[in-house]
Amino acid sequence: MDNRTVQIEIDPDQLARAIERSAAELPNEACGLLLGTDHGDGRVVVERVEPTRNATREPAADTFEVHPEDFVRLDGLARELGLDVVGVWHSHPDSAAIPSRTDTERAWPGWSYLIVGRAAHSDVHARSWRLDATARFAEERLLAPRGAVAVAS
Amino acid sequence: MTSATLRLPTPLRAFCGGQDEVTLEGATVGELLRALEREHPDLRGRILDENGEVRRFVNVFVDGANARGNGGLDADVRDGSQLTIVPAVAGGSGRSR
Ligand SMILES: [Zn+2]
Repeated sequence: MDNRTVQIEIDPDQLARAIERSAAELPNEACGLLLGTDHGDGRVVVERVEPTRNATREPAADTFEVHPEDFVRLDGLARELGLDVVGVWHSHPDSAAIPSRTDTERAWPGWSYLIVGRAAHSDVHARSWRLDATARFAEERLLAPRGAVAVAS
Repeated sequence: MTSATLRLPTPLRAFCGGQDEVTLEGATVGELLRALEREHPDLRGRILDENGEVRRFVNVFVDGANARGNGGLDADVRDGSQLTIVPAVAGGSGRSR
């Protein structure tokens, strides 16, 4: 794996699903999976942003874990649609959309990690990350085509 | 002979030649996972630990049901079953760090 910046394209309506779900789950973290196609040339296209249950056994205001049953269901859906699980999304109820140490420790290589952040005195915003060859998160270039921006207030 | 299909998540596909599914012979979950490791040695240590148990950060589903609590590695597998290797997908905002 090289360290070129990965470009991730997400339909703005799908990105809005993550943002809406994040608001609905407050004060807890929301989470889910990204279904799409990893073209393998540094370009990932997300077709569906799917919410899942947060199955964490730690405080849900601070942590998330995608319910494994939901993973199996969405992996099956992706297969039916000719897509793959290409990444993960989750929210930070009161911090910026920057991966935490816990996020880094628990992340898998080869996936996009979209985060919906909600820091004090700033708008809700989304950024996407991927583990690089040194197991540190590097930011992806998040594109929401049709001219929409990856920020909602 | 019983054979089943094992579906692998994207992060593990790099260790089995990029395949998303592998069909193998085995009558239990354990037999199938050990057959998977024999066929793709790069997967060693990523699904089963050094004691041969399923790692904490991995679940194995058999036809939609979690093998953990349903017989685990000894669970029988029907001919044509679909096993899905499910990685723990988790993290945290780090507020408590
Ligand atoms: Zn996080």
